[in-house]
Amino acid sequence: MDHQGHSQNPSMGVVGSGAQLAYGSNPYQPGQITGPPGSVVTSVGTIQSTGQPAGAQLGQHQLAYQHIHQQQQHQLQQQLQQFWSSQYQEIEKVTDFKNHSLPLARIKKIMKADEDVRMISAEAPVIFARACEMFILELTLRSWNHTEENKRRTLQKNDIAAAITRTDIFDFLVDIVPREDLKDEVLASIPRGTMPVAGPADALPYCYMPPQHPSQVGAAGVIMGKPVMDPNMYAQQ
Amino acid sequence: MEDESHNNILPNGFNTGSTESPCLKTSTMTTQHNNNNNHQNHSNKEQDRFLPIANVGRIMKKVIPPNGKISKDAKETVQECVSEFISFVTGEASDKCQREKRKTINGDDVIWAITTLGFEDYVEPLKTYLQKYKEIEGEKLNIPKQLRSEQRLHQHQQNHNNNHDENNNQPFNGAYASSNLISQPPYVPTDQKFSLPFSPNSIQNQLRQQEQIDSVGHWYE
Repeated sequence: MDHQGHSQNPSMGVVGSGAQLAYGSNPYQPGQITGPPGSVVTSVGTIQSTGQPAGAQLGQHQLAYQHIHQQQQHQLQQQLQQFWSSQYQEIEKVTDFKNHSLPLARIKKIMKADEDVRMISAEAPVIFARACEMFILELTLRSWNHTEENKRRTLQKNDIAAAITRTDIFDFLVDIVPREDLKDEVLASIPRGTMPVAGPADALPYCYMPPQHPSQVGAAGVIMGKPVMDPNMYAQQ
Repeated sequence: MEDESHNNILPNGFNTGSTESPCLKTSTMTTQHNNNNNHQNHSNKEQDRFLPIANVGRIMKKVIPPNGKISKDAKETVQECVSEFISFVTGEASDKCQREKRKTINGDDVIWAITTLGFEDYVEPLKTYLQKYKEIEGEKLNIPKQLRSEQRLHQHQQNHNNNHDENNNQPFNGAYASSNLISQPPYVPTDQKFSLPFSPNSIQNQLRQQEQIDSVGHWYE
């Protein structure tokens, strides 16, 4: 519930900054705001100040894009929630630990590549098999989100690079993705991020950290994991 | 409106696909891959640094729409990412074991490391998974113990058989002793006793015959 409440804040932000188009989108995302009133007020105020400087046509264009982008992010959040919920259900049904989706011997070899690793209990590769499956699924889900943003049907390497760049917990993977793919992500983000970069970026940590509950920390982590995309997300809110 | 319509279609397609097709594909691919995996293990050690690309590809397909495709370089990139994930978590777990002067990395250490490295969403599912694994493996361990008990019973029976053999040996010794008794001198007196009663009988018979002859001679005269 807290996570859902948090995801609804962007919707109100859009309404607050409001052209008629934005208001029209409200029926698609009904719901009551459960977050602290203080943060809502702050968010609305910031968005209004951000919206005013924009030109008429440019503003409409950006607003339309922000709307689409916001829908995509909302869709991603829903997919992730559905994904983690299904993980619980699948694990509850598990009765056979012999048929793994990943070979245990190979996992053990990769673990042993670290010279400091001495002995490994039988249960460790079993847990890793499950953890790696969840890791692959989450990484793929976030990558596919980028594929759809670019109107493609084939998941490519740069989609994975984008997912890694946008997600905090994937920071340890940055060295694996070639710079070319990272540049694509950075270049793609610059145009949208140019105008709102200065003010909102500085204000973001202060606005978001204090009012969030423990269960929302994860959500904050998700947002904080998108440093390049923060301006857009913030502007929408 | 067109954009909204487009967005509406995608989620439906995704939900439908993820519910049905991927499962069928998964079950089909599993069998095929087992053979491929064995072959790969046998022929290529370089690939040991990564999980098999077929396994990785199959898992990736679970969360994309049925009409979505995955490029090979994307699969290879995820292969590298997973190996990095394993090394990343293993390193953290190993450090913890060293601090605590333990040599073996166990399931709880892995889950602790995953928690520490920020993968909070993974923790509860993995704890449930580990708990279930321990329960089921615990049941499996009971069977070998029963087998061991049966082996002990078997050995005990063997010991009993040995005792029985010993019992058999004793009668044999007894029989031997009996044989010795037969061959000993005391048996000779038995023979003598047997011959003595015979002699008097034969003598008495001869005497009776002589008496009869005298009687006959007397009547004749």
